[in-house]
Amino acid sequence: MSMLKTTFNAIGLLRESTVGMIGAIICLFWVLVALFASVLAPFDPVSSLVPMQKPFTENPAGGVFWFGTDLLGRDILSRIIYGTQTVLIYAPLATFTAYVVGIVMGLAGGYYQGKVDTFLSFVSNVILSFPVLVLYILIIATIGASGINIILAVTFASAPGIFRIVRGLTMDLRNREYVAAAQTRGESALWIMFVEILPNARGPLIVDACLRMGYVIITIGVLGFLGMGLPPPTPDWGSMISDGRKLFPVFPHMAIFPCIAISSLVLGLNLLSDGLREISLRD
Amino acid sequence: MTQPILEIENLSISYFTRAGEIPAVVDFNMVLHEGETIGLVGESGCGKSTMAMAIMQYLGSNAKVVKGSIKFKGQDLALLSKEELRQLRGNDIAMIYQEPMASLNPSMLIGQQLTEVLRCHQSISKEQATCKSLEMLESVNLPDPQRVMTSYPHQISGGQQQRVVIAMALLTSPALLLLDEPTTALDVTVEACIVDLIEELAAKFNTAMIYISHNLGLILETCSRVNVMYSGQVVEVGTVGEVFDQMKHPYTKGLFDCIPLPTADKYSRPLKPIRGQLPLPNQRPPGCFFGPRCDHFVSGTCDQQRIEIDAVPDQTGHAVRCARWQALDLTAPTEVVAGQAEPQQIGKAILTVKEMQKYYEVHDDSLLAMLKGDRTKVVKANERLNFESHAGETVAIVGESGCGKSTFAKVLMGLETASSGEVRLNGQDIANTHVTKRRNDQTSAMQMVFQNPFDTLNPSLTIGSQLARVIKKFGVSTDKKEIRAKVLELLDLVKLPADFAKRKPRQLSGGQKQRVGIARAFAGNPSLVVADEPVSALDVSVGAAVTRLLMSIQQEQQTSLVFISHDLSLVRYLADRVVVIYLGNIVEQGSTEEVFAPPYHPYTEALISAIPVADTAVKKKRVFLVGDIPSAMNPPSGCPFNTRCPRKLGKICEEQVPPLLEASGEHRIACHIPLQELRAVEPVFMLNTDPAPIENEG
Repeated sequence: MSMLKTTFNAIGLLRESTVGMIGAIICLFWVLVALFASVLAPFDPVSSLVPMQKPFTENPAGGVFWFGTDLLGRDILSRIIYGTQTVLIYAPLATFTAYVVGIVMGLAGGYYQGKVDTFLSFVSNVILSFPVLVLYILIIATIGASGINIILAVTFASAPGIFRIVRGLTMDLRNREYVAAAQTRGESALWIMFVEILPNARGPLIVDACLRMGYVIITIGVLGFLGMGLPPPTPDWGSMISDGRKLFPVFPHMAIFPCIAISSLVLGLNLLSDGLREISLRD
Repeated sequence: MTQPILEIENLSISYFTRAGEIPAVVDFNMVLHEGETIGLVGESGCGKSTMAMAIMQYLGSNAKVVKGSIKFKGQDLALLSKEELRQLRGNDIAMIYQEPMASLNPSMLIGQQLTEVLRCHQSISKEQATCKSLEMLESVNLPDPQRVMTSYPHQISGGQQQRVVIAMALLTSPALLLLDEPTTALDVTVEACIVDLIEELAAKFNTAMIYISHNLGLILETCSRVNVMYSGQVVEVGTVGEVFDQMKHPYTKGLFDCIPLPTADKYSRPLKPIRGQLPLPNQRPPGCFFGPRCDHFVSGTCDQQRIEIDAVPDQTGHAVRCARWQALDLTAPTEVVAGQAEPQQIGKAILTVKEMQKYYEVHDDSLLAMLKGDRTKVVKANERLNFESHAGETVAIVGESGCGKSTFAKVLMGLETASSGEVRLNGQDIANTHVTKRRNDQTSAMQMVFQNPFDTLNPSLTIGSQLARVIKKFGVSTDKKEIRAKVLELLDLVKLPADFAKRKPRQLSGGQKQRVGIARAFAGNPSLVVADEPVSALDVSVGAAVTRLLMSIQQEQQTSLVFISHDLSLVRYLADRVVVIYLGNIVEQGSTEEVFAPPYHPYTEALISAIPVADTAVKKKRVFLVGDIPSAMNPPSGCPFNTRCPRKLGKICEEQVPPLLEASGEHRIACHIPLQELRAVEPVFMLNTDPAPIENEG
């Protein structure tokens, strides 16, 4: 009940930021596409139906290939629609695990400080010193391409960034008097970190999570593009772009539609996070 | 009569927000002449600072002057262009803000910042500007102005920073100086010096000043006239003498009843808080804004049409905004409600602190320290603390910032462990037990009330759940229903309605949050409560109510209260015994009456004389401390106070640790000066009927 109320309040607040509202609508659109993929997709995304077709060609067996078909004769629209599911399952999952790791590290480093912090900061600095792309390729090349491994790779590469944010926030919040009050009544360090500190750091973290999810979507796209994403024939936006790239000058439709899909979803998330930031600054 | 410096006529200012127009200041009138100082007093939200900003023509983009005019030397400020205003600000009108560190640019040398003011407003050479700046630094009594010129703001103390800010404001000899709570962020002894300096400079430069403060005592010391503001309106205006001694408005009277006077204690003159709270600007009642909180409210008279300000006959300039002022006699002393506070039976010792010491080791990781080989420095935060606190008793720990009060509280609460010595709570030594290792009954037996109401409650959790957690944690109860009942009981104890349990802290005012903080401290039936400046961040009327509440709960539950404060008038009011700390050492302790009367330790004497007293009948001896509190990393040898002591004897003070003089059974002073001599010192406070006291001692 109270959850529902909070959500309504949040939406009510978001209405005050035009940018945030546009972002939210774009994101909601893609979420709905993913949820109703089986209803919306006109064809089976993995079966070869006809030789390659340009957009707006009619299928002899009935229906229209609105976005055309790819080299294997699969309907591009249906693949994009089903590809939404891939992105919207793995991106939030990967962001979530990255956040769990980053938050635990950040809370520990910021709260205990001293040697714990020195160690954790050192580890994250080492990870952050690698170019992200190199890091992904290294990880995936070592452990192989699969959904779980994408999540692992993203977690490994993003957690240090999240660690830094959480650590900074914790260092500030740990000096608040309510934390001192909890300490003086003998609360455990875990309680203080997760009940007294973490909830009060949520504002900046939610904004960052939206932004970071956009990066993760790009990352998943890039991995697919490099052939390190989900194994075929799973519909994946990145690998679709990669497949269509060679014939781009002649048949741009194979690459351009998945490109639009990725950019619009990332744009939506970025606008949403801008909107959230705007609202959080206003109060 | 010459032309006044500032004329404000029927000024009304409103803020325009999403919620609509909110009047912040209504019908403000003021005439300020050369060399005159007018005080603006009122609680937060009454429109004081909005007024200051309006005079500077520096209101926010959502604020607008809806009526009236501000004339500076006959010129309407609203008609000036941006460029003209720029010339005016800093040159003809200067302002001094509350936070000195925030008024100075931390990345610029003080010399640069001072000369910049001159070079910006006057065609003057660099050398001349430097010369003038040096002179000005000298006239604000800064030692070694040459060094200050080449320092960065962080290299000098807060008091010195505020002197620099004052010097900066006076460099261009402005005709008008606005002071917005210039001493609120400073220690009492520093405050006394700054206030004295402001007075001296006003006379020297003949500057007209507007002094904004919530502290009536400071207004008395600095101003000739005073405007009392409430909820955007001036409710009473007049000379300081008229307003302080022949007040006509119930709010003015209420303000005076809220502040403790250092000449009275809780038994002879209990605080009388103003009930209710300041109305939100968009929820002001019809008629008199103070109506709902006023004891003299008469429906039909006070809640009809707007109340106009009415001049008091025979007293030019004394005016009051009250419909019934002629019918009221407010000068009569407030009746003492019986049973409010009675001297308590002092019970058994709850807390015994014996020879407690707390040293911190600070590691210096700089290259220089590594080369020198001494990488650890010792900060002597607490040195040999000895005192006791009994059941039902209030012990005040007094001292300036940096004296080790907070470190002591941390050791008590177990957030730090003592370096040596004993801290016994109910007979058990807890000096070396960290809070995480203390037993549940030990932690619940000692709880704390914190200073900052906006920081004391977790903003993410409801009031009810925060109180429930304490009850559960301390094992008072485990049953859900019982805990709920106990939460409501606690809310009732601190006089908050039951539905506050469902609220989040941001829905509460500062005073209400502090009440919840008190409820939280008392949730586990503690035998000792440590209160760290619990009301210093609150408005006077709210603070009075919270003080009274804390006192009554403490008396009811026979709790021992350790009250950490720098506000000596409050200490005088509240405490049974006082412990004065300087640089981690107890310099004097005894019962409140003993400490506030001779013999004094020279430091106590200075502290007491620094209290601003809002009573025209009290004549105060003034003792000023020179210099700043030395660093605890490198404390002076011998008597810690010898570097600032106005009664320093000589070498002996620098070489030998002072002996503990026993003035009476409990009253002990650590000083080299013989007791007879200390006894001969005249008291700091005297009633005006007494023979003229000696001024400017030391």
